[in-house]
Amino acid sequence: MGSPDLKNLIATLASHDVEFIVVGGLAAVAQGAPIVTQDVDIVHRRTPENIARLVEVLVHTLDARHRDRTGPVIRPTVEVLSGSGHSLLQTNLGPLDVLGAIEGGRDFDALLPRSRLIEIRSHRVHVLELAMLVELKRGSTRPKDQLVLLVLEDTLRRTTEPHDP
Amino acid sequence: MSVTRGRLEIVKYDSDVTLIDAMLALTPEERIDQNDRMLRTLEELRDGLARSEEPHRDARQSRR
Repeated sequence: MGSPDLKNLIATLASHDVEFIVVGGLAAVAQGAPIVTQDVDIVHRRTPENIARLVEVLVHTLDARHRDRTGPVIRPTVEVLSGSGHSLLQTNLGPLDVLGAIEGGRDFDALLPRSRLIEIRSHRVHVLELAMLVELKRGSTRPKDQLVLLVLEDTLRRTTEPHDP
Repeated sequence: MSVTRGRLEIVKYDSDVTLIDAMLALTPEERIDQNDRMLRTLEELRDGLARSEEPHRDARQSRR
């Protein structure tokens, strides 16, 4: 397994017409937060067609498997990705968390209005907007999230307030 | 880097540019590139530390 290439990971999903929203740390990075994240978190649209495209690219292009190193190799399946649970995968381009829904049962359709489009290798990719990421982090009690929250709030302020003279 | 009154700032030497300013000057794609570069650097550091630990570990084991 080589070094993570998270940009290429996103671009590969987008190039196979998978509908998804980047959430979590990389969404914050894309909007200017000075943090480093080691994986990609996505919420995918759970229609049969989209899940079929997602499974196809995960298995045949990204060599994805569940991140349990102790057991046998378990590939993502249509059945698992049809649910609202979280599939923590390792791909040949880095770790990928595929989330049916996030906090409060928010799925693709619920999050789409709170996303914005960015361009990655000429593909238009949805990322969860910074204000929503801040809302989600505020609801978390994990120490790691509390630390990141400070950075996200500051980044949000800088992007929404007029700059100092 | 320091946290002052809830604001994240880099320690200022001869520049008023904060880390956030530096990130906001990039495109989203460039910001993700920057993240990937940092990951590679962290991986190299981790590998280097693991390699430098090997002789010490071997020495400790041979003393037992």
